[in-house]
Amino acid sequence: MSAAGYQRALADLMRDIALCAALRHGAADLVGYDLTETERARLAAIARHRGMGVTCMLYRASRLVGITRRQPDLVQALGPEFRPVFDAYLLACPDADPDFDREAAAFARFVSATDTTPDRRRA
Amino acid sequence: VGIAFNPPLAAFVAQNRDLLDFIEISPERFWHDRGPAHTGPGRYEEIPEAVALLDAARGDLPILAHGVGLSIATAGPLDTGHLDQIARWHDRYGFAWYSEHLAWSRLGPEEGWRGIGLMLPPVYDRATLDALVPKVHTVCDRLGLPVLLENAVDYTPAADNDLGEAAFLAALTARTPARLLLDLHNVYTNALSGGPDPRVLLGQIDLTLVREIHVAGGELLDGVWTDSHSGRCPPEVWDLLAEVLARPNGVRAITLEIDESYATRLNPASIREELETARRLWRARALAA
Repeated sequence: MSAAGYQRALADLMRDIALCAALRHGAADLVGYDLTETERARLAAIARHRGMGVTCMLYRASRLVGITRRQPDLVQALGPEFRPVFDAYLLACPDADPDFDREAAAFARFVSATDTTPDRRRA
Repeated sequence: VGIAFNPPLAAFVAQNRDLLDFIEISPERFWHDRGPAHTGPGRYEEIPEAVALLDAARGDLPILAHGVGLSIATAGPLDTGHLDQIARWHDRYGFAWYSEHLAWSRLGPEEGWRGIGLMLPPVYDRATLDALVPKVHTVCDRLGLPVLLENAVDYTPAADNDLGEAAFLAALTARTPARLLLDLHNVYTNALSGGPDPRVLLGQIDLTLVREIHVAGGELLDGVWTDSHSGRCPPEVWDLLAEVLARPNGVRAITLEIDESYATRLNPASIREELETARRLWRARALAA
């Protein structure tokens, strides 16, 4: 199932900017993934590629568009807290749903179940 | 010559049928899909307003189907429920052919068919090829119409693939009935990201296996050229189209792609100009033949 492990690792690298940065700088080794050495080397090269930053941005945009279109009031209410809450949402809810309504509903559920005040979130 | 239909382009399509020989639709834009993990009935729910726009705008134009949801390159089983839904829409609209991206946009069932938000290219190696071949056969057999696979956009092209894209496409078309949808903007974009030189790549592809060509525009994002379908095609893409059409080829259709988030910002006159450019190149090809 190495191919599945490769795809899971690449999907996680797109979603988790910290993991991607760590791999880029040689500070992560993807031990939790079923990978061949060729796949590990390929993923490390992808993490270092200049196109990976854009890939991560496009991934975030794909998650963001449904939320901002369907829940603009919630986004506005979160104000400067939106970005850290959105980052936490991406880590907690990895399933990118192409359906705007369901993506926005999932985000709203996440917000309602999470204490989004800055002090509590940092704690 | 046709255009990739989306709801914001409905008025344009209805008013410019003289420039269009067909429209191309992504069937997935006309329904809600609860995903392959939803195994019971009711996985799909049509969006009546979108379907009504399509039915009103198309007139008697033929429809090509361009899927965005099969995720055929996922490492795992084929999403046969999605294939069945495409087949139902083929029964309804009589697609001239069905194309899909040679890409993966979901993880497999062991990850709950998790969506990944983007369509990523497969690894162009023999193991991936061997996994894809039976899936492509299943798609062709189930739909019973011509099936095309589109070359993927790749912002992080890897140098260690043991086949390379052109050899991968050649092997896939040799081992299955599928033919190619050649997206020239993807070829252009990949080259700008460090992928193959377009002319080298196109020189390695048997163009007689290409049935459709996509042209589109893009834009820079953080210094990287993206396949955003944002409007006017770069001149380099038109040059590639002219070169492809000047060689022996199997092209039957050229489709202009415009993303719906950009469609409302574009002047209809500029869209007409793009279509007229494509038609001019197509006519030149016909005259030379």
